[in-house]
Amino acid sequence: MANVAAMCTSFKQELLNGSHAFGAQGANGTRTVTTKDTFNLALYLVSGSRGVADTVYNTTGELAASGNYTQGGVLLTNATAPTTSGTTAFWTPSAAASWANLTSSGAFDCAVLYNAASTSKLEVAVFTFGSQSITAGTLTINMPTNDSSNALIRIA
Amino acid sequence: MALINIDRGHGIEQVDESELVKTEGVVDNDNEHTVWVEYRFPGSDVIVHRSAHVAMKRWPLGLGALIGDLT
Repeated sequence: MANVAAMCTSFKQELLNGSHAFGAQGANGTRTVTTKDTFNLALYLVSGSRGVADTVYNTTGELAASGNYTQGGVLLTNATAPTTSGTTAFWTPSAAASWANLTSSGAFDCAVLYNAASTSKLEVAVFTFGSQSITAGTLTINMPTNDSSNALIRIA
Repeated sequence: MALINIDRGHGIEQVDESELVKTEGVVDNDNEHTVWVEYRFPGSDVIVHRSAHVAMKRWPLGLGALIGDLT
């Protein structure tokens, strides 16, 4: 099994249920959601099997809690609210995810985005990249351009 | 010269960069632009430092396909 980039199917259902708040908003006609959720990015080994059927964050296949890696990953900076362009709504974290003085417990090729504010840590999406190992170093994952063609999360 | 963090299996220590052999590389494709740097001691194959900076251009599959899925 391998990690496969995807937006989780469960996330699409949760959007319809109003389970995620990527940005704060004022009270509307049906509910008041004035605070936004927090989102984390966690790293997974190449031997992992994260993918579209994931529903919640868990530590199966995640980097071990060693070498200055904390399971659960890092909190993403979310200073830019979701917006739209044309018929596409989109959102991207407003800063890179970074791990300093990291020695990874193995090669990894996957990052999982999940809602850390939700009780069950609802998973949003799985992202993959070329296999990496870090030794006493820094890993930085820079985010894509926040526009309707490249943003991390795009809905049209 | 700069001090480089290294790990020889018993935690992080620092050595002068001049004592190490540096290797750099770039991965550039449709999905990412990644720059990495490695350090070894001369004559050794053991990597004692490796850092990487992964710049995502546009995440592949899944998310692109999502647009059609939700339309």
